[in-house]
Amino acid sequence: MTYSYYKNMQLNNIIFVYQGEVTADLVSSILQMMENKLDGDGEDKKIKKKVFNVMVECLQNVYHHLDTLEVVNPDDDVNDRTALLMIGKEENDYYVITGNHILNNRVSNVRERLEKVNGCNKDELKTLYQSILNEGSLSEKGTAGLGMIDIARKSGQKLGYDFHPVNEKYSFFSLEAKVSRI
Amino acid sequence: MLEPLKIEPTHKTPKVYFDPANNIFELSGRSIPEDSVGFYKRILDWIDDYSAGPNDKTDFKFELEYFNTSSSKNILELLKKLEKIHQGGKAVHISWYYDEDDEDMEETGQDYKALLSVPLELIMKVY
Amino acid sequence: MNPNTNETTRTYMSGSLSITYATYKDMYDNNIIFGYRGIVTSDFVTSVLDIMEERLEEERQSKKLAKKVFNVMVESLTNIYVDEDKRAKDDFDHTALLLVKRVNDAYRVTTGSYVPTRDVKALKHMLDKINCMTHDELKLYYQEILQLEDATASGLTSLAIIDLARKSKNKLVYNFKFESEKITFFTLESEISQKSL
Repeated sequence: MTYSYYKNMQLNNIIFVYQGEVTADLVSSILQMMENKLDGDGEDKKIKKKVFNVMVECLQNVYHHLDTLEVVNPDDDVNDRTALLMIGKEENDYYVITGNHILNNRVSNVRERLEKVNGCNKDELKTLYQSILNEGSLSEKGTAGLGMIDIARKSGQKLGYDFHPVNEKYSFFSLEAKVSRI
Repeated sequence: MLEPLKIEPTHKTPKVYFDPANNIFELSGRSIPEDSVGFYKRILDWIDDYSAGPNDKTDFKFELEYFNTSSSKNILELLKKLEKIHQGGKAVHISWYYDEDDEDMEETGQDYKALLSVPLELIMKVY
Repeated sequence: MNPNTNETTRTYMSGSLSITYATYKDMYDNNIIFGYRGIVTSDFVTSVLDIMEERLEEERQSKKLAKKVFNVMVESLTNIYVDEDKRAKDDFDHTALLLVKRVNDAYRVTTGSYVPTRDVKALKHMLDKINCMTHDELKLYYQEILQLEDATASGLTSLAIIDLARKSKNKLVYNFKFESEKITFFTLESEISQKSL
């Protein structure tokens, strides 16, 4: 029921939510839309830029992940080409959440990377970023690692995350980046 | 002779190209302006000036991708002014273009045709 | 590095992170492509249309259907679009909702917005009237309203709603949720299917 959807969005301070495949053009349309929304809300210029930059990183990150997916055997229950994008505005922060399926055997690797990123302060993040860059590894894994660091650096806050088991093969990985409004 | 009216299209507003000297009158693109009345006022005012000394024949072309409801009212106003010119003895011919896949644009053309006495030709664009 | 990082990290989560999978599944199961809650500006309208254009292309829908969905969206958005002046002037809550669903090869566009409770009766009357009309009757009704000198918001709303019914060729599904003497939440859903072509 539509009204309950509205109320749910209101309760969770969700502005925008999208479910489906993520293409490059879609990403730029969504960014354009959010840019307009931020402009329309008369948000402070600095915060606007910060939120926008975090959104760009988050969307690029999930787009990149989906784009570089290796062809896996199709799973009946799970469409691993679809993602969830959720943007919200709370009293003190904006939040950008992306969600997508990942193989269960990759969960610990991703979690490890996230914990590492969250354990770093600003300078340590910079160093970590540069060291991965210098390694010269342009593999999908390498650049995905950079994506998370980028998000953490731009948001200035710890990244939130959740791994929700779905079936034997997949889990649903949610990543949240916050940008302070104050 | 009246100065031509040229308005570059944007992602929300149509291309306007009115050139009396060459008998080119074109309105094309999208029309979902923020301020519909304000945007069309410029066009309607120009047509008013043109009405004072129109060509013996005016060929007007509409080739719109889509437009919102408030635009449709303004477009009707524009068409009514063209109708007046035609009724005044100076021939006006309107070409209303629509995509072969856009039944709605075709129907809108038919709507206007039904409401006006100025010649309006519906032309389908085939690919 | 904090040994309790996992715990610490979770405290940074907003309530929404914990419901992400549920939201995803719900949307996926209900074929909801996207939802937006906020004020609808004209710039927003163009961006949404771009998003839909992308999506329709991805889903390899026929040009005819895509055009239809597009046109219906333009009209649907007109209903919840509020121009800048109006937004600044009144103290009315102009936060609107837009939901787009895909059910097999049909698309459902739902808009939700607050309307003054005192306008509900007239609105319901018009919707019922429109839902009873044939395609030709809708055409005539549209032309009739188009010609009226009335350029008020309600005039345009009527026109947009008639246009919705006309373009979708399906009955308009609506709902009114009373919130107070002042405001009622009005949802309107149009469906674009093979029947609309």
